[in-house]
Amino acid sequence: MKSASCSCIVLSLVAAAAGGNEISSLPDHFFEFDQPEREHHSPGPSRLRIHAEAVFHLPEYRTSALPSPSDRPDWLAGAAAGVHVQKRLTDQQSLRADVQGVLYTTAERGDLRPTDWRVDVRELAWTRQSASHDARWQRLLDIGRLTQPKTLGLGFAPADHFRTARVNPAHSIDVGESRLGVVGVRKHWLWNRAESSVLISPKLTALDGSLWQDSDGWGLGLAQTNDRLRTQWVISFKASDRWTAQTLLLWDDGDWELGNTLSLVVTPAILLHAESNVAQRHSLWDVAMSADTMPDWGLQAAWGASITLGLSTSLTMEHHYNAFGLDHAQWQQWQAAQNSPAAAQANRVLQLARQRDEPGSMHRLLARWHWQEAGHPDLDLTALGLLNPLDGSAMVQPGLTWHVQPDLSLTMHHTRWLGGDESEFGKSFRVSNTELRLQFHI
Amino acid sequence: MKTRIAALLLMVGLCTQAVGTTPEARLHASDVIRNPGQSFTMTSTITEYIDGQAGEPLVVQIFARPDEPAGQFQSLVRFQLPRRDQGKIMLRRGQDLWFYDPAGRASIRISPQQRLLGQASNGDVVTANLAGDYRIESMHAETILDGHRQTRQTQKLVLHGITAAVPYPRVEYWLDDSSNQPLKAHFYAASGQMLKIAYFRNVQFVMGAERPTETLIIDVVDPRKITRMAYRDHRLMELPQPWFQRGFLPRFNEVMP
Repeated sequence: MKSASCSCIVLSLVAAAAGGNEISSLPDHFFEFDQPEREHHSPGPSRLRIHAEAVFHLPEYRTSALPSPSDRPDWLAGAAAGVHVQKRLTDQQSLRADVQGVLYTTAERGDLRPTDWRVDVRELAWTRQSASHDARWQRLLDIGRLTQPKTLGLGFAPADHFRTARVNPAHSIDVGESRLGVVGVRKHWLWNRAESSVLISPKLTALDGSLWQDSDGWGLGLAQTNDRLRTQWVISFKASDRWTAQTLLLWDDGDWELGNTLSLVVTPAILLHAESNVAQRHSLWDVAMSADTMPDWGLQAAWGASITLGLSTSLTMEHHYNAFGLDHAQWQQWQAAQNSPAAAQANRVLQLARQRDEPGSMHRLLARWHWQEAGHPDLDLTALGLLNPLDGSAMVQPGLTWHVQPDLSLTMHHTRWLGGDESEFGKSFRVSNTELRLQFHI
Repeated sequence: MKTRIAALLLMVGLCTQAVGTTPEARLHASDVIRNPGQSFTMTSTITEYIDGQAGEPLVVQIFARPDEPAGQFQSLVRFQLPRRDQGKIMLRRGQDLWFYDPAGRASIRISPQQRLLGQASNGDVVTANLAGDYRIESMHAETILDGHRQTRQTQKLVLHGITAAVPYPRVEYWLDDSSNQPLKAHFYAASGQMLKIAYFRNVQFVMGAERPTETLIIDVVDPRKITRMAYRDHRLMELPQPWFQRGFLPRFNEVMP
C-alpha cells in the first residue's frame, strides 16, 4: 500500500518541482523524523574485525593436460576465518595483528582427500608515533611483520616490490587475502603533501624442526618474505589535486630496482595510472631453458585508465609490458617446443611467471568492468578479461556479488581459459572453473 | 558499495547570524553555515527508501579538516555499517580521492565521478563550498515549503559551476530570507536535466551553533528513490594535516579507534 502510494506520489515530483512544492508530494512518514535520528547499533571502534568465508571450486579440465588423473580433483573446497586486531597501548604506541586460519580439502570421484590446514600471520607489528595531533608532520616507527602498501596496477603491479609474498593453498584455491607481510623495521614520515618511508627487511631462516618451519601449518613463510636482505625507500608526493607520484627504490641483496608510479585525474570521469620498474634479472625464457646468460636490465610497466560510465558502471583498461617476458619469436619457439622433449622445460615459463607475479608475455591487455548496484541495491556485476595479443589466447571471468544480508555476501565467478593447446592461456590445465564464495563478517 | 558514501562531508548548518544582502554575501554566509570553519567529526546515518521501503542503513563517521589554501574541506569517511564494510576509509582532498580496504591493506585511487556511484552522489549534494566553485547568475525572492512543509520566505539563487570539477554544473539554491540558512536545492546535469532535489532539515544546536542535522534527497532520475541523511555526534576536534595522506589510511583506525 505504502509502495503504491509512493510510486504515484513521485510521478508528480518533477511537475511539482516547477512550483517549488515537491515536498508536499512526499508521504507523511518522512515527516515523522522531526526527532533526532534513532540510534543504529554501529560497532563503533574498528579495533576488531572478524570474518569467515567458505569457497567451493568446480573445475572442468582440459583433456590433454596434466599427466595424472589424480591431479584433477572433482571439486575443491576451502574455509577460512580471520581476525584483525588493533590495540592502542598508549597515546603513542599501538599493536596490530592480522591472522587467518585456512582449512581446505578436495574430492576425487566423490572421495574426500585428507583435509589440510595452515595459519597465516599476515601482519603482527608494534608501532610508535612521535607527533602530537597538532603537528604538521608525523613520524612513525613499525617493528614486526609489516605489509607494504600495494601500488596502482590492477592486473600487474611491477613497482610493488613485495608482491610475491603470497600464500596460495594447494590447487591454487585462493581463500581470502593471502599476502604475507615482511618481517622488518620501517620508519615512516608524513607531511601535508608528501610522505616517505624506509623499510629494512633482514634475511631470516626458520629453524628446521621447529614449530614455525615453513612446511608446517604454523609456518611463518619466511622463505617467501625474508629469504634475503632488502631495503626499500619510498617517497610519495602530490604535485596538485590532479597529480600524485611515487618513487620506490629497492636494494635487494646487492641488486637495485627503481619503481615509479603516477596517477592523474584527466576529467572527473577519467583517471589515468601508470607504474614502472627497472631491474636487472634473467628473462623468463632464459631461466626456463637454463640458458647461460647474464642478467640484463629491463623495464616492466603497467599503464591504463579507469573510466566512470554513467552513474553506476566503471571500466578499467590496462596494458602490461614485461621486458623479461616472451616476445613473438620466443612464443613461436615455445610453441615449437610443445611437441618435443623440451616441452616440460619450456612450460616452466608459465610457472616462473606465476611465481614472479608478472605476465609471461612481453605484452598483455586487461579490461575490467564493474556495475555497482546492478538494477538492485544488493547486486554488483563484474567482468574481467586478460588477453595475450602475441598468441591470441585469453582469460575471461564474469562474476556477480549478492549482498544477501548486511553481514553476508555471496560471490560467484566463472572463469574460462581460451586459446589453443599451444598458447599461454590455452595451456591452462583447466578449461573453466566456477567458484562460489560465501563471506560472513562478524 | 565501496564508493557509496564519499564526500558526505560538511553537512552542518547555521553557525552565524551575519546576514549579507548581496547574492555573493548570502552565498558565502550559507557556506559558513554549512562549514564550521575548523576540524570536526560527526556520524552520519544514510537510509535509502525505494518505493517508500527503507533499505539497510549505511553508517559512517566523518572527519573533516579545512584545507586552508584551497578553501574546501579535506575529509576522511570511515564506514561502520554494514559490517562487511567496517573499517573501510575514503580520503578526499579535492580531486584526489583514495579508497582504503583493510582486508587487503590496499588503497585505490578513484576518479571524482566514481565517488558519485550509488548514494555517494547524495553526499556531494551537501558538501561543496558553493561560493568557491559557482558563479551566481540571478537571485530573487520566492515563497516555498521547507523540509517540514512550512511556508518560508526565501531568496532563490541560480548558480553555475566555474570549474570542470563540480559534479553539478547548475544549482538552484533557496536560502532563508532572514538567516541565509540553506533550505532547499535543485541539482542539474550539464544537459539541463534536473537530477536531485535536496531539503535541509532538523535544525539543532551543534558545535556551538544552530545547524541543520538532516538532508532529504529526492532522486529525480529514479523518483522511486529518496535518501535520508541524518547527522549526530558532532564534535570539534584537532585533525593533523598528515592524517589526510594516502599512506596514513592503514594507520587511521589505530590512532582514531
